[in-house]
Amino acid sequence: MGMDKNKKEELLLHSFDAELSTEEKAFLEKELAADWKLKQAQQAIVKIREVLAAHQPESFGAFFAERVANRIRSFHQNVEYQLFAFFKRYQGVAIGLVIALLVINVVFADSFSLQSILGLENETINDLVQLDLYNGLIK
Amino acid sequence: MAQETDDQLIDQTIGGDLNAFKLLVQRHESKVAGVVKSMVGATEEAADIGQEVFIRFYQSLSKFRGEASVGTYLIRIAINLSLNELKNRKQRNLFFTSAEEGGHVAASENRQDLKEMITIEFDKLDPEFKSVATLRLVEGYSTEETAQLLNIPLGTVLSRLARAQKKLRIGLDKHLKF
Repeated sequence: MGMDKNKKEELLLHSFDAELSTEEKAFLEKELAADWKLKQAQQAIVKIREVLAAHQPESFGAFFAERVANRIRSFHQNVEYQLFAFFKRYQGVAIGLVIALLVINVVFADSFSLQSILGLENETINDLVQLDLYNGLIK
Repeated sequence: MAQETDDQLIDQTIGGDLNAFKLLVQRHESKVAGVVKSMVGATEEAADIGQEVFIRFYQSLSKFRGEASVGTYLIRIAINLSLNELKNRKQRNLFFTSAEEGGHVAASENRQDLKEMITIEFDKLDPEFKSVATLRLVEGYSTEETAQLLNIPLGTVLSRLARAQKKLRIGLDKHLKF
């Protein structure tokens, strides 16, 4: 049989988690009966697997769920979170308003410009001089 | 009274009932703790990672629509955060790690019991082997489930398992020959 030591061990290791073919199974059984080192390796792996599988139920300590809940509560109280939540809630409305403004401007001012969207007319310097902005009066 | 399902508890949590979320945490704490502690050890960081797992789950509740079970989803987060922690630890504490390895040798001199020796060798596994070994050998997931949880091919799971077991066996041999 031309299989070297590493390949025998490889086969042994795979036998725990993968389905071996009939020939592989027969070969491994024969080798296990003849090679005491391989048999020892098999016993060691069985023991390792037993020990690892026999762990106690784990926990993160007392009141873990309460500690998580407290973190969530403080997260909600965080101003940043509240601002984020506020904007997130009204983002649809804001987008709708911008679109509405855009449509109104296109329909009534026939313009896509930023100034018209913001309600700013294209005034000349002379026009501005004519305006008494402080008193809201036209000279 | 019939126990509420995870989906019902999620709906209640989304509706603002934090007690429902606490029930979810209690229900899944043990599995998450098993995975995290197996990956990073029973350290202080383990509980922090545990909290982070559930906080991230809470933050993504509205997106969670049952493609995977809650348990599977949490285990994925737990594995990812544990891998991050192992990576950070490696970068952070090169000196500390070598001191720790010295501690392992000293521990073997004291002829600890088999369980401790295996735990020491398990801790030395590389993260990619440790995650596979944790899910399959510690938590008892099937090889197929392990592949799904880690999003890697089944063949990779099998070869990593074989290599992890070989490393554990060789490590254990060294302890026993001491």
